[in-house]
Amino acid sequence: MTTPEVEITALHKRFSTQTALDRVDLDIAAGEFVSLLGPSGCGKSTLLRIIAGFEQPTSGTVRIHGEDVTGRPPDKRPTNLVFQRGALFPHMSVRENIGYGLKLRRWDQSRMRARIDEMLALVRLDSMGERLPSQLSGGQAQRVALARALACDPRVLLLDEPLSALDLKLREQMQLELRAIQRRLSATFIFVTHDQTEALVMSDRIAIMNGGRIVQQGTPREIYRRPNSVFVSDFIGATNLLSGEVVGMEGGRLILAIGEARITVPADRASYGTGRRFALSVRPETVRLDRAPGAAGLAATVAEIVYLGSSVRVGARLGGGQLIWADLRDEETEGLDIGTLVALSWNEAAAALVEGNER
Amino acid sequence: MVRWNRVLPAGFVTLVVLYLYAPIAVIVIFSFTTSPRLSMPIEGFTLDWYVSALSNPLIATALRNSLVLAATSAVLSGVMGVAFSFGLVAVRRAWLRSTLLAGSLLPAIVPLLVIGIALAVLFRAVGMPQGLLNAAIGHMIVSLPFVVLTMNARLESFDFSTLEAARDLGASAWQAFRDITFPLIRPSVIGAMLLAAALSLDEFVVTWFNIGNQQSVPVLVWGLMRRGVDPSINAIATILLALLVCLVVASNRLGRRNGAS
Repeated sequence: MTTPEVEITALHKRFSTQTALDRVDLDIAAGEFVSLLGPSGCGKSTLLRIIAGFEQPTSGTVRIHGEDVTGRPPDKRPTNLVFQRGALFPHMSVRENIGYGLKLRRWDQSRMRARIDEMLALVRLDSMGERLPSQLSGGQAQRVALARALACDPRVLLLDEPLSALDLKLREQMQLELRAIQRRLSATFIFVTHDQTEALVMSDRIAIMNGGRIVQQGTPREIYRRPNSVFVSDFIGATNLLSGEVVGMEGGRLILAIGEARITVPADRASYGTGRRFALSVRPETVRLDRAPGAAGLAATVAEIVYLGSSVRVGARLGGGQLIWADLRDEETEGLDIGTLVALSWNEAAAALVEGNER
Repeated sequence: MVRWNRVLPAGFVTLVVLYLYAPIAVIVIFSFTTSPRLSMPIEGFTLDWYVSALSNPLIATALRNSLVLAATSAVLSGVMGVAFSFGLVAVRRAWLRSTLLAGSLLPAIVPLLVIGIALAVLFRAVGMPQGLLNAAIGHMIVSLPFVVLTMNARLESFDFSTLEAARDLGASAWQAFRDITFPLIRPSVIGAMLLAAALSLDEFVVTWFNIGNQQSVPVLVWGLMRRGVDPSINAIATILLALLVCLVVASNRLGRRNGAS
């Protein structure tokens, strides 16, 4: 394998009272769009700021394009950062903002003008060059911030929740736009977010962080389908977490006790011995609900029906009291009522056995 | 029919405004009248009092001293106050920051008499003879809280991530200060310095205890008044007033432009 564009090794960061990063390792290939995803305080912003050079790690190294940049100030690194709230220079026009990095690099006037025009076109703000930041909408300001950061052609572009201050519609549009720009430039992007949808939509790879560690990394599909912990399965998308205990093995399959019920799952991991407690993550959209008497599956009683428009979310209670949500199409729920007896089942490949404490 | 509910408030407001401005108006008007006494009716207008005030070497020296004090106070308390305010916003612990801020503003409410006497005693203890330098140090103490107050208000709304953005784009710490910080805080700095100059120009109490046998305009006027009202005092007072109004208006304008951006 070729050298990764960004190599983060055994990174550790302690602030006076708490550990912000705990032995973080992460490799990012050139041209990759990687999201650092996690709840607030998980260390994702600290990691980004260490890559940018605004924070120094307590220990560990950051290499960019094979070169150790740990300890270098931000102005001596081949990275540029898009700030959460743009951080545009309020006394400079859009063009001056975009050209600031180039001016510091002593580009000549005509080359600089051409580059600024190119950047304005890239973010579709061709006619806005002479405006001041105070005359821009939130979305326009973030586009200028992006253009300013990209103008210097950084090896790695860092983005610190740049869309979080925008409203939903604009955010969704900007997500696709950012993704398109990244593909067109084949640039390396590291994107920090706490919004799982955003990470799923944009990323080649997601690194999920919690408590200063990367708890899982993989493609959006891998992470959604095969979460490796209760935390990840709960953080990414909606899920049903069924807690229970391994009570036996049968022909390479584990027998699980969930309350009174018994179900079997493929023993794809050897570590689940008898007596072990676990959680099974089942996505609501994979749950089937059968009203025929004697149908196979877990017996349950419908307890909640929530109409969502494009689908209907039905909550059914198991004998043990646990509520399981199923996302059904509208027509599938006709005649369904609270109190209806049903059998719940799911494609076992769609369920993931996860470790971690229950909520 | 007279509408008392309208006339009464209007009359009251007029009285208050008269009370506030009549003495000042009288001084300004009589600085231009031919009669040496404050008397009505006004016989004629003249600029003689200004000529005699400015040709009086005592008054000219006092005016020069006052301007030197104002300039020194503006520049030094400006630089000190700005630097202090930057240090202040960098303090992370909130309680320490607010304590330091309150501490730096305290001299603004300590009676000037106390500051003046305390400084005089201190200077005598360290063997500094009274003079302009002592008065200048006193003026800085008087203006510093106002500089800190102005700058602190500006820096609290300052987006420090713009400085990080500049560093990120390749600016050294000095370049970031030159290109970003300074242009953004310049109106506030100048406003604060003008305010410091204005405070210094009409400062009397601290000056009087520390300036020794030198004269600033307020000290000189005080001395002249003891010998009877000379109409050229009106002229001096009007000059001082004009200077102060200019300084305060300029300071305010800069402050407002700053707030708008």
